[in-house]
Order: sequence, then C-alpha cells, then structure tokens
Amino acid sequence: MRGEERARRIFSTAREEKRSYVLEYEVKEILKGYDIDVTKEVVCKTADEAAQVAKNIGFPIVLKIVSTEVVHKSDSGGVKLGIKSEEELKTEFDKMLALYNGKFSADALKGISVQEMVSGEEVIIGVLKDSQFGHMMMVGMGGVFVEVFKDVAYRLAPITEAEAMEMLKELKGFRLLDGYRGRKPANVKSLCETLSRVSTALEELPEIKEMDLNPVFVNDKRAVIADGRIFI
Amino acid sequence: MEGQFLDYLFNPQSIALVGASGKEGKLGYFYLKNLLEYKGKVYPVNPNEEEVLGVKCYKSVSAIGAPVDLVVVVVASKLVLDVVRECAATGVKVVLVTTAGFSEAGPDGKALEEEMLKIARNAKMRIVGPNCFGIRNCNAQLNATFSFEASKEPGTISFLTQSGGGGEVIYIQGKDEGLKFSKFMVCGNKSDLDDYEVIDYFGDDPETKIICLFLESIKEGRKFFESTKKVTAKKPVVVCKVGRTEGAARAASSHTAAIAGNFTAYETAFKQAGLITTRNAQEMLDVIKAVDWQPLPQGPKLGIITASGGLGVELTDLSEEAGLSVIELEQHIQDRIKPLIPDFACAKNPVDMTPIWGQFSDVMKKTIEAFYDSANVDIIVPIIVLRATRMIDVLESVRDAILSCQANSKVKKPTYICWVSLKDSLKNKEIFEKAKIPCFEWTGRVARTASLVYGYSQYLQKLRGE
Repeated sequence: MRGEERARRIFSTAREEKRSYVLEYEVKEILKGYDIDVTKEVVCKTADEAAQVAKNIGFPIVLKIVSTEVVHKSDSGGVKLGIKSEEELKTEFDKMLALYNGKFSADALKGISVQEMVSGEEVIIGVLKDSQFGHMMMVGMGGVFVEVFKDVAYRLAPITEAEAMEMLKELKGFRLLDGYRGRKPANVKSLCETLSRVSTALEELPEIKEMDLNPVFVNDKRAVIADGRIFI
Repeated sequence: MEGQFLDYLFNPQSIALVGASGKEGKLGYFYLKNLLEYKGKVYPVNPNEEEVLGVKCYKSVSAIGAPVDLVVVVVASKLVLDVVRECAATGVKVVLVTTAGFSEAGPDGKALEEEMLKIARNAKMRIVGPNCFGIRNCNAQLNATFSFEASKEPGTISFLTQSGGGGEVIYIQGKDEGLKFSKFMVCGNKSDLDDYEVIDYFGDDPETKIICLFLESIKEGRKFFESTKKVTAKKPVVVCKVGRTEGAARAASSHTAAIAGNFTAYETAFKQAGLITTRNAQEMLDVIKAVDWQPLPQGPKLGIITASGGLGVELTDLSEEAGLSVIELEQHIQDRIKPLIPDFACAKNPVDMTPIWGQFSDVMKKTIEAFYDSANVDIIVPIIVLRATRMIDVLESVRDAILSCQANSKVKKPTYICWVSLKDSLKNKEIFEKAKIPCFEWTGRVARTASLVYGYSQYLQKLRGE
C-alpha cells in the first residue's frame, strides 16, 4: 500500500480513538510506505510470541510498551534496551507487562513491541507545521547535542537530497558522521535520502502538525529510524 | 496582472483627496499640500468647501465627473464606508484609507473593516490600509503622506513598511544619510493586501534595484517565501522583522516544537529565500548602503589597514566571529607594504601603520593598491580614527585611491570605512559617503554589515552554481 493511503487509514484510526498523536508502530508503518528504513518490530501479546519474533529478528533486542495512554515511553519504564538472550527477553517482557497491567484498559494496552536493536550515531529528525510557512524540517545530532547545544538545522519543506546535505553540513556535530577520530564514516547519503523522503511524505500529508523521528541511527551501512511520534 | 493595482497606486493618472482641507494643522491640509506637488491630476474633495489652497474643491468623488485612479481618504472612520461605496460606484481603482479605528481597534472596527472589504471586492477595487500613513513614489513627486519629507531626488530603493512611524524614521534617516528612495509604502492593516504582491511588484519594477522590508507580521507566508525567493535572484531584499520574541509560545507537544522558537520559521524562510535578515533599523540602513553603493564581496577575506593596532585586532575578532576571515597577506604583498611603515609596524594583515600621521596619505593609498593585488583580500576596510578624521587631505587621498582602484580593476572589491571620530569631524564622513563609500561607526557595524552582505553574495554564488 502507498504511504499516503496507509497514513490516512492510521490517522483516521487515531481520530476514532480520540488521539492527536500516532503511535510508534503506526509511525513506522507510514514511513515504510515512503521507503524509509525503520527498525524491524512486531507488537506481541505474550512472552512466547516475543521469543519467536526475537529469534527471527536476532539479538540484541529492544522492548517497548505500546499503549494509546503512553506517549513518553521511557519516562514510565516502558523501554528496555540491549536484551541479549531468550531467557532475559521473557523475564523482561513479563516484568514490563506487569508494570502496565491494570494501569489502563485492555483496549489501550496494545502489547509490547519487540524490536531490532541498531547502533550508530544518533540523529533527530523533526517536523513542525508553521501557520505561515507550512512544514519546516529540522535535523540535529541526537542526545546531548540536541538537548544541550541545540545543534540543529532547519529548512522549509520540500527539500532535495542536496539540501538535506547542506543541512547536515550546518551541524557542528557533522564531524561525528564524517569519520571523526577514526570512527567509521556514517552513511550520510542514506540519511539524506531519508530526509528527502520525509519531505515527500509531508507534501502528501498536510495533516501532520509535528513529528519527531528520534532517535535515527546512522551507521556505515544505513540510516534507520528507531522511534517516532507524529501529532496530527 | 495581479500587481497592476499597485501601478495605479504609485503612478495614478489622477488622485482625489477626500477630506481635503485648507486649514493648516488639519491632516487634510498636509496631505493636500503634498499631493499638489504631483504631476498628475489632483482633485480635492470636501462637501463644505468651494476651493482649497487655490484649487477647485469637489463635493464628492462622483462630482468630479472624470475617472479617478487613486482616492486618498482622510475622513473619520464613521464616514469611511460611505466614501468607499461611492468610490466603488464610480470605478475608482485603489482607495488608500489613512483613517485608524478599524481591525486594530477591536471587534467593532473589525466589522467595519470587513464591510469595507466586501464593498471593494464586489467592485474589484482595492484597498490600501486602513490605518495607513501613506505612500510615496519619489520618482514621480508623489507624496501621499502627511509628512513634508518628500524626496526631490529620484532613487532606486523601494521600501515596504508595516509601521508608519517606524518606517518614516528609517526613510528620513536613510535619506539624510544619502540613500535615494524610489517607492515607499506603508501597508497599515494590510486588510486587502498581501506582502508578496508588493514584493512581486517591486521585483518587476525597473525603478527598484533594492527592496527593504520592515515588518511586524507577514500575511500568506508561503507565497511571501516563493516571491522573495524569485526576486532575490535579481535584486537584494533586506528584511527586518520585528516582534521576534513575543511570548505567544506555541503549545509544544513534540521535541521539535520545544527546540524551535517563535522566530525560527521566519528565520528559516528568510535564509532559504536569500533575504538579508537584519535585526534592527540601523543594521538595515547599513546593509542598504553597502549593497547600494558598493559591489558585493566575492569572498569572505578582509584586508584591514589601521593606525590603531587595538581596533584592528577588535575588527579581526568580530569579523571572524561573524563568519568572515582575516588572513596573512602573501609575502610579495607584504614586501610592497613594509618599506612604507616603521620597522616595528606590522604588514601582515591587519596592516598596522602606527601613528605616522605625516605619511598616512601615501601609506594608505599604496596599501589599498596592494590589497587590490592580493588574492587574500576580498573586502577592504580602512580604519580611520580621531586625528585622521580631521585630516582632509588624507581623507581625500584615501577616497581617491579607493575610487581609482575600483575604476581600474576588473574585480571590484567592496570597501567600507570603519570610522571613529569626535563630533567636530563627524561630518567629514561625507568625503567618503558622497563618493558612495560607506562609513560605519565602530568595528561592530563594519563586521556585521560585511558578514550580512557576504551572506547574500554567497547565496547568489550558490544559485549560479559557482
């Protein structure tokens, strides 16, 4: 299915559920429709199911709570990184389930997402719809760079891959992507492709008010979105 | 043609002034006195007068009995709608409503403004204002404002301002400093006008070489962006957007919204469209001088000549902090300068002459010539301070050296004077400014202006794929 159709279906579900935000797995569904690389994930209900999925994806694994009631997952203990074995997975899965069970209705708790764990430099991609100028895109180095140093660059959408490259070069932290101190140079081209594909998505989806793709991991092979939120 | 109504505004065949008055002190008197200078037909309108300032006065717009392109309205807000209705019925093209008390004054005023727009739209007539100080076309002796600051000299700088008072200050100050304006427009409430329409019009106007914008808000931001992007490829557009810090914080649900401030979208749009973004009116005037009077810098490298080592270093710091560079001159260039200055003085860049006043003329002239031959200099800045600002022969010789280098070289290097003087020699700046060499007081203004202008030059270079 094309990205636009997928997005429309997901947005209408969100509206039916009286949500102004789109959940992580839904965001990834939309992005996949625009050929944007996202971490592999399956939302599971049981630890056994999770173990099966993890076998296919391969360890290490990440667990994340999936609920319409939880927007900030890590703040409430809904994210577990770096799970290395099936045994650990099952324990952590049940622990997380217990943490949230009974907190809200079964409808709201959609399950726990079992995800591939990726490494690389952390990048944030953001979108804001300005009342005057329309969609504005942001890119920055993730983690402390964005939090503390506000090391970000902006462009009004739409942008081309070349413009995406210019944005990246404006970042003080660009050197981290460019093979700083013997690091393997990250696949910057793939990140630029991602940015320009996000721009394409924005052209088709004017209802997007805000979007955070955070973190995006960029390693020597690819740029991949590990988490995301959309507000409509 | 969407911009055509602006042609009726700036080049009307005929103008009617509703609310014309012969009584000194009344707004209708000032507007009339100014309008009577215009080369086209001007009809005063006032139901109570037969004649004002020696000109036949009409009872109403329709009583004129001839087509009227532009009607300037200077009557109380409760009378405006009747005038607008009459204008609509008689085929007037544009109505400039100076009267205040509309949407800016509350819900009643807003309703009045909407009613006025309805009348105008039905008649395909356009409204400028309300709450609008007026407009000028300095190349046609048209001064439709109540200020006597008309421009007798023709010019090429066109100026759109939202604020009447602020815009007038910039205009008068600019004029006083030797800037020559083409069109001046206060947009007031912008009830029936989008900023981009004016940008498009100025962009296509052969009498406009530089556009400046002093704005509090922008209507139709996306179209503004597209229009300015087109225009900046042909002519510089200098913008000052005030009201950047207003507390109206966006509801920040995402990370991105929390990071981006209120002004970020404007700043992003301005930069992406190739506008020169200034923070205040003074910066705007400095930049206009630099782009109007001097060529654009082809690179970021400053060549500085100074008699004060300290100010030379200060300018170096500020320039580098602003993204420009000050790099050592090539050996062969230094070899040309060294014999001119004392052994202990520095020829590397900044070239520090030390206080050898008697030789300033010669040293500065030859150093400026050497800067022209240096690949390490794109922008030339002579720092002229205190005693030197009183030495007319030095000032004239530096000026002549700059002019002759610019006239005789293929690559034109922009030159800005960094000027620091006491009051008694302040007016000696004119020795340079009359020759279109800008003098900026203190190092900060030089660095800031050079950096902004270079930013535009870089934008154009990128556009041309250089």
